Amino acid sequence: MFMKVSVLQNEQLSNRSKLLAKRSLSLVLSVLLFLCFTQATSGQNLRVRGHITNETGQPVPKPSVVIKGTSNGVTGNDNGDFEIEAPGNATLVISSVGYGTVEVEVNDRTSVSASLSSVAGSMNEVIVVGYGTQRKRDVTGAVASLNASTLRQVPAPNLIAQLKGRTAGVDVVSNSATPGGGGSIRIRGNRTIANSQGTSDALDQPLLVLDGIPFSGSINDLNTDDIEKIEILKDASATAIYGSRGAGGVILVTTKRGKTGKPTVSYNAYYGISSVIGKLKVFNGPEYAQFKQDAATYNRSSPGTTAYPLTAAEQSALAAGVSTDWQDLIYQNGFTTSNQLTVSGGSEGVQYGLGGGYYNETGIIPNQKFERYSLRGTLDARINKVIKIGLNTLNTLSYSNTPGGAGVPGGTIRVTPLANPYNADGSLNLRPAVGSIDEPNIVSPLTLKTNADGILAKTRRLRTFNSLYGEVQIMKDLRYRINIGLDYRQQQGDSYNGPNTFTNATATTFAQANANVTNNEAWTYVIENLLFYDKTIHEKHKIGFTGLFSTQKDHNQQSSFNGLGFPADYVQNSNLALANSVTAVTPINGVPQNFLNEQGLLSLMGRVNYAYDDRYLVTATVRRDGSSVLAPGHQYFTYPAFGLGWNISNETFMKNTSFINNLKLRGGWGKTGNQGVAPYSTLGALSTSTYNFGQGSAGQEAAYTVTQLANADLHWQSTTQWNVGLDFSVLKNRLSGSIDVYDQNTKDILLPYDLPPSNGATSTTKNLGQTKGHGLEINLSSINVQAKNGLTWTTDLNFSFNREEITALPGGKDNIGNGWFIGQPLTVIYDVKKLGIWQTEDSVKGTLAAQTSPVQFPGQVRVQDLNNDGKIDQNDRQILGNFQPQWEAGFTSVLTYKNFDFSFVIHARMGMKVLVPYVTADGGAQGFPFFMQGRANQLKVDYWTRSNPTNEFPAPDAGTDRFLFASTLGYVDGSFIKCRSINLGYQIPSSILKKAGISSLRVYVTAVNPFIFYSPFVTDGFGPDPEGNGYGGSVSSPTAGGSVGVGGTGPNSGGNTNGSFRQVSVNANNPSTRQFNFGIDLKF
Amino acid sequence: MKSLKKIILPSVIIVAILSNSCKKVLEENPRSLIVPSFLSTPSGLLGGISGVYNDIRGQWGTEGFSLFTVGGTDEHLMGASNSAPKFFTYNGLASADMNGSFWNVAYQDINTLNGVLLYGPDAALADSVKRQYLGQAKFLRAFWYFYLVQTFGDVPLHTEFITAPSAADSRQPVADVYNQIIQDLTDASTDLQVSSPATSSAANPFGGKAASQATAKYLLAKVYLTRGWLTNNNADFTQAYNIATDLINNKTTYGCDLWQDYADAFKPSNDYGKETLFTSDHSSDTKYGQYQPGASGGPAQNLTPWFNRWNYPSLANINSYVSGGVLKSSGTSTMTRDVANGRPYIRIRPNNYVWPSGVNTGKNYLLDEAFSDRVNDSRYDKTFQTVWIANTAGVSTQVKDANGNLVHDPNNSRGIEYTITVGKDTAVWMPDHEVTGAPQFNGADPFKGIIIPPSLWSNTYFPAVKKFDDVNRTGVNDPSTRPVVIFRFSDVYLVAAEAAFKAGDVTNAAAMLNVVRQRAAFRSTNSSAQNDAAIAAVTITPAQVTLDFILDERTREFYGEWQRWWDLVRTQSLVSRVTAWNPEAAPYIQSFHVLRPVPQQEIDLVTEGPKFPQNPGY
Repeated sequence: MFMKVSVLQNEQLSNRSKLLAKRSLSLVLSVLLFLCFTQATSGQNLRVRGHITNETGQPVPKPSVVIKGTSNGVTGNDNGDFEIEAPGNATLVISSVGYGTVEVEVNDRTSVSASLSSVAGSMNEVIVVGYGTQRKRDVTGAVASLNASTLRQVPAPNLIAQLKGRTAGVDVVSNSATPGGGGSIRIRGNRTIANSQGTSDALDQPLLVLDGIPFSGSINDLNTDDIEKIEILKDASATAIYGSRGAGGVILVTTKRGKTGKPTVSYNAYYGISSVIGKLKVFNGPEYAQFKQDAATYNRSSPGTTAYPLTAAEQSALAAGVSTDWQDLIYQNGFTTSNQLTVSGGSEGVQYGLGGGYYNETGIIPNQKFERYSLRGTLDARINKVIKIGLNTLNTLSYSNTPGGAGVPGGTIRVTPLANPYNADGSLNLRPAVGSIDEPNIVSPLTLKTNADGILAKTRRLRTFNSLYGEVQIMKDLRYRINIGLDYRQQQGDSYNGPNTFTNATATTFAQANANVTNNEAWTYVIENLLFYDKTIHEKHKIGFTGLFSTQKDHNQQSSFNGLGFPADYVQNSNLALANSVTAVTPINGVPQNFLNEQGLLSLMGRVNYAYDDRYLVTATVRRDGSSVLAPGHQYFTYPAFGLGWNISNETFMKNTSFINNLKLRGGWGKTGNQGVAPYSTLGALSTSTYNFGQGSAGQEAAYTVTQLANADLHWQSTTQWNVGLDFSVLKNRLSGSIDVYDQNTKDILLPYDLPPSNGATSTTKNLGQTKGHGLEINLSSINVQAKNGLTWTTDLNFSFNREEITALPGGKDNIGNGWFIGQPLTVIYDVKKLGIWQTEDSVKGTLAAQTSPVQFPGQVRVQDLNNDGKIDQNDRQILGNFQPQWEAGFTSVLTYKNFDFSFVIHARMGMKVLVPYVTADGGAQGFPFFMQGRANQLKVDYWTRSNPTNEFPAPDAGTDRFLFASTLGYVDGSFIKCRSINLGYQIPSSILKKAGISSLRVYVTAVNPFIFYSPFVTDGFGPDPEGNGYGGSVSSPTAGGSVGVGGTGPNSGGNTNGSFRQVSVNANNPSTRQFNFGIDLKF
Repeated sequence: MKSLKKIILPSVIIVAILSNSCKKVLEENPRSLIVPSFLSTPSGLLGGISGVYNDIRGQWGTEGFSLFTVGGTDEHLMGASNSAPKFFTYNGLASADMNGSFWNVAYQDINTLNGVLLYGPDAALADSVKRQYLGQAKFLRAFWYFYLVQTFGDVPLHTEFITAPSAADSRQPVADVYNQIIQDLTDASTDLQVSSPATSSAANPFGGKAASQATAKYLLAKVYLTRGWLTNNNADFTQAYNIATDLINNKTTYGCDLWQDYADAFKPSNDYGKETLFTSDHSSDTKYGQYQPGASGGPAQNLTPWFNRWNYPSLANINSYVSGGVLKSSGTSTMTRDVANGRPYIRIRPNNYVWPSGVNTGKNYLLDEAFSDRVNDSRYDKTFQTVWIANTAGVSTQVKDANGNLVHDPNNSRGIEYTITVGKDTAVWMPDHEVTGAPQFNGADPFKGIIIPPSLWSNTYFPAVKKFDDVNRTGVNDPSTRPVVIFRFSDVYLVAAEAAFKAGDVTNAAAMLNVVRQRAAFRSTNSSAQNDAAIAAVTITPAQVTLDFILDERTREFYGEWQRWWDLVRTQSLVSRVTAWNPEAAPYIQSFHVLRPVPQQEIDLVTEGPKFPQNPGY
């Protein structure tokens, strides 16, 4: 009877007009419905049917359904369906092994549905594996999962900051501390030998996939509040389904979607204050005066003299006891606010989710900020029994303004402390270096505060990332799905530097004000056709097949224009027509600023999963990718992979070992690649510039030179990887975890290859070289205390290390020019080695005289004469260290008691070097110009004098801006153990909230970056924070083939980069911040 | 089932459509790039040549290169803010100190020119035009090889466009390189335009004193002269002399001549005049001139006027004084930076070191050797700025107390009290002779500025070179927009003189030198009688011609003009002259320093084939 009713109801809906015509029938039906209704309200038993799914909509097999308060219950079938007789006012308690429990009120319905959430870490947890989901127990690859609540323990504007130290094998290196700044993520280390940061990132960073669609571009476009969970595919057997983009690992982000049930409204917000973690120690007024005097005393080329004496103004300031700490005047408290409102809900047929967010972070440097508005919506609709469609639209609009950029502290610490920041009349002391040679180069950093109109460095970014799907259940076990990803990014960069500002010090008139407008449009479309076949045969054989055919196209176009000469600051860059002249921006360091690039990717993929009796698991995948960026004839490559799994705990012989709850052995092999070649690399290119023959416009010509040679043989680079892992859970699941070991080999590396300059072209891209890497990853979760009184204490510990090395190079030889060494990590420090400082007694003992070239003097840096020939030259270079951590670990501890929760996160990254550019100098823009010259203020270092015979830093020398072996001072141990965050939360009791209609409310406080436990960098006085805030920037050693000396400052004057782009540096950039947040999580 | 059909059919169609568009997805259609084959079009051909000119301006006039051309010679010492000390002292100068810019750019250009010569003949241009274009390419290729071979000795010799990148390379004998240079210049001296006009036109893009037959001939003469020195071959000297004198004899045809006044050669209005043979061009156009106000560097910035400027606001104080033999600044400066006086870089200074012992005891190179005659020869006065006129208003030694009464400034150690008159009072005077008691004043008629006699010149205070000044700049820190004049017509006379001298013809050598010297004697402020007397005084006899005399003459004529290091190397005088005059480099210079080290980058990056050899000693 109920069956019949429901069928009729369906017909009623679909054939409404007919039905209206048949009034008599309608009357009968009304009666029937009335009968049903009255029956139900009478509290009589109903036959309730239901369907139980997990969080991704897949059926939960054999759910347990019990009527609350009774022992009456049933177990559903493999498809998650059940039928039970229950009173109309009953509550059903539904659960399943590995899932949490939900309660559903029958409310006189005859059909109910429910969605169960898996218990994190359990083997039933459903995890996203790329082009589908799997229960954790069926997974054969190395996959790590992190859910939203874990990520939220570290409040941050983007995912990168949240991932630091959170799971084994995922190494996050920060490279910026400006608001909205990012970092780089490496999963299982670097694989690619590269010669620029851009290339390295393009080649080795993981592929980010958002709800199934590859997500490129800024990570800041992703609102962290929208993330439901992430999965990180680490080994090749798991990533090979992404073929040519899988070599760097894959991060799968699943965003929140609507769920069946009554609408819930949630509001999450926090508000925080941030301040600098510390300042750079610089000379104060009297120390600075002494330093300048010492620089004259130890002037090597002309002892006793200096071109940079205290100016008249400085002398009077010194006499007046002035000692200005410019950092104090610049740094301010930053404020952060994050707000997110979400509404979600749905019926059985349609689920929806809507969310809006606002994030605003102001920096510790005046006027720096990052602001993001986000709006998203999800819709999943089951049109009929066979068709399901859905949409996920994610839109963000962000503004960042970073006047002065990251380098404000670097410029600030140069300014003389012997100057009042303000004049007697209260106006700004605009040029504190008045009277010195640097007078035109330095404008007070306080202009960053006072002249907000004069300095603009804004980026506006709009992104709309949309994915649509349609799914057709063709047959019981066969599903077709189409995913369409439409991603559109638009970014505008605005900059303006007015005269007499910190960022445009040499400009004194509005004719010299400069501005820029840069517009970038990028879009990507992806069309994926997927076929899924899932079948269970005789209960024990589970077979799954996934087939894919996909097309992707990327487009990126940019225009960039500079304007010079503006009428006034307030105009900024709003109207380039007001500029005296406008020019299109020519390539900067060889990187085009106006361009149009397109590239395409065609892929076929197949995957077969087979499980026997939940004990033996096999996964086999093969993907074939074709890419437009490679040479015709070499565009396709095939990526195979296999994975095996053995659920040992499901074996009969394990049934009696009760302390083991789960034990699974996994192994996999696979091949992955990357296509990190810029479009058109196979064609060769001319560098473009301009020239004028004479002064008239008739002599103005475009200028071309050949700088990049064509390569018609470019083909795929590939990485093969083995992985063996063990998942375990013991002591009633109190202790669980996984251990993975892996070994990977990369060959045919797409190498932008620096050529001998006598070739003419400086570089070409070739498939050259091989690298390998291996490592160990351990994740351990434990429930240490689970007391009856409600006290729970859990900890998560992860530990990992990766060892990368170059195994083969062209010609079988080390390539010193590019900084590549066989048997060494991919980026090393290759330079002469500092032994100390030459002391006065060395000239007495004759040790100093034994060095014939260069002739040195006490107080100068002493380096090792490796070959003992009395000369320090290129033959004395050696490998001094690298940037690969010896090991890395993360530790999270969560304590809950009644309504309180308390957690903290600790991150350790140990045994690698960082570069400290501001304790080096090469006379150019690298390093810290004029370091130890007594020309500008600088880091306060322990420098040599006759009365202070230290071995740390040399004597200052006013006679040179590139003291000997300066580069050797900048290599510092970058190890650290830091507390990332501490959280304390309180769940307001629901009894209080019910009256207000609030279903839950949690309030919390968080401290981000509260303290550093261990850091030799900090203890040795180099700075407040050992974590990187940039790449390279250090001096390439003159002895190591660096950039010192001859030549103009043309595009080729940089000489040899020595891989410095990948060297993590801690520069005098924006320091990292300490944040205190107060937040609420509210649900209606 | 009906609904299934409805779905499957469209799906199949969609898939089919997508599959058809697949091939397109993998095609590359670059739009924003210029690829090598573009050199075969008329604009590509012109662009390739312009690209090389642009690279040349990335060297001549920029800091590193400029210091490299004059450092470690007899003429120049380090300024207090020098930025390339190893090239001035030779102490520890190593392969890695050559950052490669000069080498790299030269080879990048040579390959580009080889591309131009390969693809250019296909360009759709009239043969006569094409011949000129290709003549430019040949000239520029020879230009670069000439600087390479003089600087490094044996160098890789590429005359074919490199299409397949290689990590192998080798050095070819100097003789082969010279043969190639001579071949190219010989061709260019007939293929090129006869002379280059001051401005370009649609018909002739190579204006602004780009390469012409005159330039090619001059350079060819110099190449023969230089090779002659290496091989000691009289035929080369004769060739050099003949080519140079041919150019002189036909100077009207080639549109070349000397200005009557040496100073006129450096007037901005004469930058593209008759004396200019070849320039690297600049302009205030932000696009084509790559002009950047306030720029402190950059590939196309002409910073020449600044390298030899001392920081004139630092001592131009009315109360500066000498203490312990050192100048001390005190009080408020009467000078602030301005466009006329330029931006002080303090990189290089004239060599006025007085030798306390040795053959040159008591002498300094600047005043006692090169510019010893500063009366009849006007070039010292026309090269150096020695007077700075106060430009800062309101500077006074008289300070007022709280009641407005004039009181004695406690800093006023010299005791004179007055207020500076802008544009009239001298702030600094650097006389070329000692002034007893200087810095001094006369009680009756106080000299308000400071006098810095030669004995007080140092790496911080020294006469500045004014030949390259650009007074038309708008901002005090803006780079010069004048062209860098790489070759001047007066060098044709000096090349001829040196060639004649080496060929044993001192009569003609003296005659050629006298042309240049007699011009130098002219002062527009003199009466013609005075000028005649000066001309007579500077005229030399054949017997006076020695190598040292020729080298001193070159200092007088070309001080600071990017030549000195090569002049000394060519004449095999580097070590002897540096040892004799340069106190900073004398302790360190060795015979192998006559060749620069091959950039370490080149050696490190030759990873295939035989190791790339370094020059001996490095």
